Amino acid sequence: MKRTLLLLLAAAVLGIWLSWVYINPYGGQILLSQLVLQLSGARGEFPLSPYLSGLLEFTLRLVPAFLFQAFVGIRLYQHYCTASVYVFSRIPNRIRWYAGQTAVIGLQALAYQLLLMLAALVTALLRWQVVWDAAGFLLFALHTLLYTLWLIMTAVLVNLLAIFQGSSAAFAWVTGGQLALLAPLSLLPLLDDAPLTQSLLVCLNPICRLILSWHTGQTRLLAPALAAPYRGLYPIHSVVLLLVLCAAVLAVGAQIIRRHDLIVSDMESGGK
Amino acid sequence: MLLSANHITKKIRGKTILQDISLQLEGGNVYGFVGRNGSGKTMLFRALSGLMAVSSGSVSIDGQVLRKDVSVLPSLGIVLENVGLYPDQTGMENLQYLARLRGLIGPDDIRTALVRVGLEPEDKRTYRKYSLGMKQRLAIAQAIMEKPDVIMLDEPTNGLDEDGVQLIRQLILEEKQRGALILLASHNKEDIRLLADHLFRIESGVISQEEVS
Repeated sequence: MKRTLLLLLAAAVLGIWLSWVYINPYGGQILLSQLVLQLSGARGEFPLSPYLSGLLEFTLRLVPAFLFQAFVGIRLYQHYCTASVYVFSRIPNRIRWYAGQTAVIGLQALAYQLLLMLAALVTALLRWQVVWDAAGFLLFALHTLLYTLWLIMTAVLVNLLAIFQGSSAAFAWVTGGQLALLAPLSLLPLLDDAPLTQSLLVCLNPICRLILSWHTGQTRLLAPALAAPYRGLYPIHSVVLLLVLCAAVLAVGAQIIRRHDLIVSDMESGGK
Repeated sequence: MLLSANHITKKIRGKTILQDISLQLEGGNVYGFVGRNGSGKTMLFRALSGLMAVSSGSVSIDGQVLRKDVSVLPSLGIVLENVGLYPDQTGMENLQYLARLRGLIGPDDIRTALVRVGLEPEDKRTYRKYSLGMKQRLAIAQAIMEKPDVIMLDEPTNGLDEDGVQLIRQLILEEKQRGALILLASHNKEDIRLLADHLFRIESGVISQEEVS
């Protein structure tokens, strides 16, 4: 409970920080849709640029996600450390236990992301004049959903890798993986003459699904707000893709949890 | 209650840890297991409890196959060597946390278990500050607190003073009288002589039955 409260406090502080650093409109007025796009990577009215400076800025926007992964990345794994034998000897159905634990991770991810966004919004409201637009509400929900799915997927992944590699290595792998997904995006400007290849690379890279300003709005409501520089990145596709990836990680996790032998008594020290 | 091992073999990275072990163990008995360090006693407990899958063969409890019908023995208390508890919690807090996982018992049952092993339920010291003997007593308390059908004790008298040894021996006999199936691995010949109804020797993963002397 103390950890969850700490996590929510961190979400509020990071929301204020994101808003303070990235929401600074010219003229003191900003549309809600623009505010959300800026939180997901856009710079002012321009979409996130795939140049190094833009990607570094986007990486900074992912700091709250990294923090969540560090916090929640030991939720399952902690039971494999001290007292693992005494814990798992009391769990006759590991799958049911895993389902309960991942449901909590899901709720934590949603609460964390929602609080982060609300803190960013309230901070913006105190500093600037926010103009409410219908597309903004939809983008707000979309952004929250995409990031929540990303948080669940990565946090569960850290937990699962930790069972084999220890918590520090697992966190390093998952964070490194996310940076590795970002790195090839810096090559996109080289493909300006090959827009199809460029769009394909963007569509195949799951981290691009977090960048709303690269999406194309298919509905009358979203089309004006999402005028993407790349083809084929649609919000609904991103939601489905992240849902599928999340489900795949959860399913693989269920098998790992079900089958994993408790041979090493203390995962961190390696004691038998 | 009948715990059966049917030709179980466990190999880890090509090395055979347990070899073609078959056992029929009934409730209300104490089964002693002896053997040198690394002979496979602890691995056998892990396999019989369901904490570790076997490479071939099967373990079942009253017809329910472990790792298939249930992940672990449904009513199990276990103590293994070198398995600690949460260092920043008191003994009571540690047991309360573990008890919540099954939700079968309340604070009074936990206090009773602590008193039975000679620990003070209101002791405010954290596990980190416990002596080796107190840690061992606490581990035994967590194993018996829910009155499990099967109790596996790996070197339960390790680190205990003479009074502690007597207390734990008495406790094991009480659990046996309750009807629990008790598996006891010990290097202490006196523990085995006084407590075991049946004796098995394990050498390099191979098991054989011996007479209790």
